Amino acid sequence: MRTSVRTALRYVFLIIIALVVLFPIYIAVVNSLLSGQQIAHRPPTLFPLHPLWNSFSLAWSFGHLGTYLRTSVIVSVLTTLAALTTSVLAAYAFAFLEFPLKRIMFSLCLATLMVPAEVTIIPNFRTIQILGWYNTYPALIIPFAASGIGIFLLRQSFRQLPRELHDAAVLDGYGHWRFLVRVVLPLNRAMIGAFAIFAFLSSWNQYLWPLLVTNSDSHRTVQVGLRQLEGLNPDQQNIVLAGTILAALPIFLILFIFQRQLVRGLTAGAVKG
Amino acid sequence: MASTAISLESVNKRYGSTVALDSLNLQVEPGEFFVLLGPSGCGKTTALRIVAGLETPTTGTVRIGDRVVNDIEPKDRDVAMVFQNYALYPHLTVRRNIEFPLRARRVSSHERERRVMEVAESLQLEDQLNRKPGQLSGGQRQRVALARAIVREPNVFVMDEPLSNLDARLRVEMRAELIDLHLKNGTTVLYVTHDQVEAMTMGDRIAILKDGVLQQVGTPKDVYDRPANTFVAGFIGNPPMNLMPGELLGEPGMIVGIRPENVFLDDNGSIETRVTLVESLGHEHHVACRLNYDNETIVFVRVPSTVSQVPGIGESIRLSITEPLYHFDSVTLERKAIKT
Repeated sequence: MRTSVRTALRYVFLIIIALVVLFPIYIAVVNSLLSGQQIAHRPPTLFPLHPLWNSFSLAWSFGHLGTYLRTSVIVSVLTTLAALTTSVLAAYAFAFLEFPLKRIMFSLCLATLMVPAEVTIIPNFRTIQILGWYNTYPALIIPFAASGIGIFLLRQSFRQLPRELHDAAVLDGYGHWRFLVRVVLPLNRAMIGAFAIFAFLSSWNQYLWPLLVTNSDSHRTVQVGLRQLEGLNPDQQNIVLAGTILAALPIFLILFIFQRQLVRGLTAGAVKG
Repeated sequence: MASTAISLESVNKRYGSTVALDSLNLQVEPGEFFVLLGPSGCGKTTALRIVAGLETPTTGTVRIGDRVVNDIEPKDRDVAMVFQNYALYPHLTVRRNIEFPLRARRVSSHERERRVMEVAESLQLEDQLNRKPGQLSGGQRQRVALARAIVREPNVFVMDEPLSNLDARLRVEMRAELIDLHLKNGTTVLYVTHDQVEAMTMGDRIAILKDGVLQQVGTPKDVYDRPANTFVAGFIGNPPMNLMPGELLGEPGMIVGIRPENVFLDDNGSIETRVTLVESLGHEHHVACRLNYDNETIVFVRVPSTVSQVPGIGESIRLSITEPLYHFDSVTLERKAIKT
């Protein structure tokens, strides 16, 4: 009896937290379906009786969201692939190979996690300028093609494979490359998947960097492109919100589809100890 | 045919200042079941890994057949290894696990199928081929690990405590299977264990290691009947040989050894003791007694279950002994001679 009361209380608490998190998103969706005047109305409308669905098509055409979303998809997918490739290879080296200065190099990788992104923005910007990459895809992708957190997460995950699996593969005649592809990657699917989602989300939600290194619409990502909608009248807030929701939609879809993968990957280390 | 299947010549292995193997010399004959026996940390697994090529010796020469293999890659040594924790690939089916080494060697799919089926049949794994290792029992997993080694048809098998993760009954079964398998295919086996029963029952010859130093090589009967030193005498046999200070033909500074089966409960015996522990195993009892004249020495006695009166703890009893007695130098700890 006592445990059921405790469980009930726990659920009430979790429901309240969930409401606090979901309420702003709900209000954004509701307001995107109201007219500007209805949004300004007090008390606020919590349920749109006559939703204005055309705010989404207006946001799409007026904000050129198609172009921006395409750029965002290209940049995020390529950044994720690049970060995955470098992290997998570096993590493999740190987990399975012996080479001079290994510990120091790993410490350096970890040290990059402690440096705030703002500190590196100016040197990175200078580098991009010197390379002549302003307004190009490489400027949006290359600075994020290696990831300290990726190397760290995957190295920890790879190290949990029993050493004997590596020994057995070596004796069976598998070189590093085939051992990586045939054994390490399939056995670390969960962590690799979790990191891929993490890298994709970070890239998708970038704002400051794409704003700095691009000035043409053809290379701006959707987060920057949303600013186009700021030029609208104050009573067209619904269109701004519709654009924001469209920009966030891919993220929601990815989280919805892969949430189990994400949770499993991020808790895998904790459970295996 | 090479005169030896595996040969280690003055092999040393150091990790920093730790000596894992100290000038190890071993010759394994072709077709022999050779056991490396010793307590944890004695260097037996290091020696095995050096033969397999997973470790390189600090100095010394390793030969497999006629070839010096020091600089030869593990995959080119024609050695297949069986691991204590099976080392199966958990994401692959039993079939894919068994054919894993064949795929690495680019054996044709037809030939692969033939060899996998042959090995699976000989190890009764035909029904498990499409299952994953996680769905198998410990014994079945170890069979898959064996199958993966056998399917390569290697010149030498090296096995690192392959039965230690199995429960007692399964271990006895697998022991018999391994011996049977070895008799059938006659491949040289280098087998590492800390379990003297495994060593005694399976090995054609046994090498006993301690702290990286080879203590003795011989047949199971050799090492039991003629232990080279007090370590071997105490390590082989359960309960261990009784070792106590004594003298040989009036010469002091000796350690005298008596096997527990040569010590008897005897009301007229000359040795007075007090019982400190009795272990009943069903078919026999192991009785540990403390000598009355020397409170430090414990003597083990093996008492057959046919003896009706087994003494209780704390009881005073008398013992007598029969030959053979073993004599060890108390300084070098080496055996001097056998008085029979």
